[in-house]
Amino acid sequence: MLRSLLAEEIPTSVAVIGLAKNVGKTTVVNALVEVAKQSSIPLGVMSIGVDGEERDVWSGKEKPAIRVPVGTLVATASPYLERERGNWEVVASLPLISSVGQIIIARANHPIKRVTLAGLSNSKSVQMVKERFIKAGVKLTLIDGAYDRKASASPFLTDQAVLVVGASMGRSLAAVVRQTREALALFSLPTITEGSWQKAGELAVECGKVVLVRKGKVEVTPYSSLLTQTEELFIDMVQKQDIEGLALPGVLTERMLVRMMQVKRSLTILVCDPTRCFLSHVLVRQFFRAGHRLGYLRSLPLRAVAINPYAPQGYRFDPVQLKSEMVAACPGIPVIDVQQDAWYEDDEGGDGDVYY
Amino acid sequence: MKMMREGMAMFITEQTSSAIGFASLWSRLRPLTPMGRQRKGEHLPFLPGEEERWQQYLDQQQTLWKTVSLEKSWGRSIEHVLSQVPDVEPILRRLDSTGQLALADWFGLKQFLWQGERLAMLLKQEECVATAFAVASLPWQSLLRILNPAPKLTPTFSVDAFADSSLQRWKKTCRQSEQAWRTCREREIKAVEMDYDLRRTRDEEWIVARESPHLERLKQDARLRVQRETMFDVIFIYVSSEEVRAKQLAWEEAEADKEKAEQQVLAQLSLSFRPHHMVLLEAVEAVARLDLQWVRMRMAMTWAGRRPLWEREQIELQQAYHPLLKEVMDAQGGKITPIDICVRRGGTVIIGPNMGGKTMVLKTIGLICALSQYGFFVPAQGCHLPLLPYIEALIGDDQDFHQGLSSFGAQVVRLKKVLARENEGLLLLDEIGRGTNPVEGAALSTAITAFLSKKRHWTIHITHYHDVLTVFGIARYRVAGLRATKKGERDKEEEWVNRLQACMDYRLLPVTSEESVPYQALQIALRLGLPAEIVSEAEMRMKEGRKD
Repeated sequence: MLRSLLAEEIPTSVAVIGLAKNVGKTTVVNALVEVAKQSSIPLGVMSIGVDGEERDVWSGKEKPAIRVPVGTLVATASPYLERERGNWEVVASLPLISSVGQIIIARANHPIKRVTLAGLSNSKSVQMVKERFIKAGVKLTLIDGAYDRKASASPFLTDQAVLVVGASMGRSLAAVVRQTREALALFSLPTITEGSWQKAGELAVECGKVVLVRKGKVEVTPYSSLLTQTEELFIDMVQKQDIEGLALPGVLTERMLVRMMQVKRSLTILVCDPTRCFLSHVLVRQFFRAGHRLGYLRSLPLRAVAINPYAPQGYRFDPVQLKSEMVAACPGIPVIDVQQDAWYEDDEGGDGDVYY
Repeated sequence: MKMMREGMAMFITEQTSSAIGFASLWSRLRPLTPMGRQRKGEHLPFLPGEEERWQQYLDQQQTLWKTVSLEKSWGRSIEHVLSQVPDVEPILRRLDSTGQLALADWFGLKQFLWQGERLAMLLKQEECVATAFAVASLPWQSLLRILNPAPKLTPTFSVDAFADSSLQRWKKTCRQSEQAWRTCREREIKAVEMDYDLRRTRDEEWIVARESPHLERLKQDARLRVQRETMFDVIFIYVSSEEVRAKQLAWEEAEADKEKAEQQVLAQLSLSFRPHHMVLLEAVEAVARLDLQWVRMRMAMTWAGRRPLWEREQIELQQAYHPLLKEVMDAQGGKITPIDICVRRGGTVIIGPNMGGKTMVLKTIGLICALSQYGFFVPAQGCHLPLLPYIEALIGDDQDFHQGLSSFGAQVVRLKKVLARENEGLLLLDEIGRGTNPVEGAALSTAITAFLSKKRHWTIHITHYHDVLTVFGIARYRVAGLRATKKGERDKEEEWVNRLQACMDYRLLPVTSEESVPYQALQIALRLGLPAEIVSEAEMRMKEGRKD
């Protein structure tokens, strides 16, 4: 199952994003690294935020290591390569300085048992690393995003994403499935492709300003977001019938959406991509029911949903039940249990609960 | 550093630098390398006594300029390589003090040598440049070889590359002992899995349901340990046997030995570089010098600069202009009028109508002198000048709110400081005495010009006071002024300001005979929209005054 992910058309980049802390993101990254190795795909790995440390900074529990095979390129702060310095070939140093040190790109000359990937904090640095990876021959870039940095999976930075969900999201299996379904619903909102809306979205990204669409014409406002000082804009939207909606350069929050629902006619809200939507499923449904429309300039294809039945808090769900419920909740998207599926493939190629 | 700043301030104060536009141009000078940026901050002007070094500096730039004009792609390559040079100075300091360099430091050092070698190769393509710059003759490749034992040179760095050292043997031992440990461990783990029909997770755990019939046996098995328990499962991990532990210990010892061997490789590298420390410092200086020369040349190219030549006693400029003014004029679609002037020791007085560009003449002369002494080719068709010990410009309103001084007071205080300086520099004076009543202002202005005309300063004084022209022994220039226009024709204020440039003849002309100050202020005031009644009255009063 997992191997088939990269067996077909190979994406140039995949972001691994978790819906909560400790859902098992690193395990998924390691699994993808291994699959890339088996498929002989030249690989580069980076992380937004800090990852690969030995212990979770919150819980203090030991974390799985990020392991990379020979030939893999990584981008990280230079001190993190000192532990196995004999096993790295430094390829480039970037004009990016993190709090730990300068970001460098290095190739593993030997299998690396544990590497800390850290130091990248914004989309500009991710873009820079991606370019250097490609220059050094990388065909697939894996971006490991910290759990609260959905930005790492922006379609402006990556082609595809793997969403990681797991038992650590909640005590009840039903709650985890519900949260996953809601997240998927947000990911699957439509892209809005009409000419004026595409133009408005691109302008919003380019200028970093809220862009209005009025009678089919785009109009850049002085506001960089709807978070503050936009009272005039709301009054305009309520009073002026010719405003069809707006394109946002940044995030869309529940408070903003509630505010929009006060406009008693059909509105369109365009958000750049799914990583900038911080909304509950219930509210999005209400918004659509009220006759409004919400969509993206660019969507992000989900390559797979990876599940993890085990929570570091010490409880677990029945892996088979979790998988079957997730498959039902994620129509059309492969659901993978990286702990188990790989074993079936390698050894038996069939179903079965190997732990019992 | 403090001394450097003081040295710069001795030559040109921030006030003067800002007034003549030098500060603005200097801030635009962007060296391409970290060492160039560092040296820019420390750079001192060439001062009297350094004429030979100054001209050699300009020779180098001239050589670069000629080559780059003929070989544009060569110039782009040099710029590309310069922009890739890393900041190696902190690394060299660490190498000198502790000898301990991190992996990224070694890479930085190798990158420096790699880019240095590329620079040297590019310079060697052009013989005249190669002989002018030390970068071309430094032993880049032999230093690079220390970090690159393989025959093929590469820009990357890896401890692994030292194939001939004992390190490779330790790595092999490590791999073998790790393999032995893993095989033994795997055999035991497989045995556990066979015994209980279990499979590990990727995290090397066995998760066993509480209802499993093997649970009690598993708990008793010495090969296993309970890692954690949940309501539903018990999670086991593998416990190594004596044999596996011994093999693991052997592997760890081999790893420690490998680590020691790596340390030795790096320590040996440090030792290999220590004798070359001075050469590396020279290399840094050489790159910085090339970089600074390069960016100066590029900036001077934007104003099609000419090389300044040394002249003992006078500052002689032909078709000189101020590049910042040219930028403004270009943006407005206007045209700049270059100036010709010869300033000798003593006094030079410039007169002319309001808005005739007199202050810009002062700024242009000051800027060209400053640029020359900072090693630039200058915006002029010809430039001969001495190296000056300092430039001082009293331009604009120096009103000092903190000290409670008026414009006049501030001007006098600054002038007093300038006149107290021991040696003779360039003094640029903009309407001395303008801030007080005209009778005393004229007298003071004349007296200062008379005083300075007997000194060995190069003084240029702009004034409206007719009396100043009567000082004996001064050189005199005037701005040509307004061309003949139909008197009484009224324009809108904005239109007139725009048209003024077309009506004004900004040329600087030597005053050869006794010539009076041109009276064009009333005409300009009229054109700017002052009621005709007032202007007529003023004209009448002026005529009466002349009769008196």
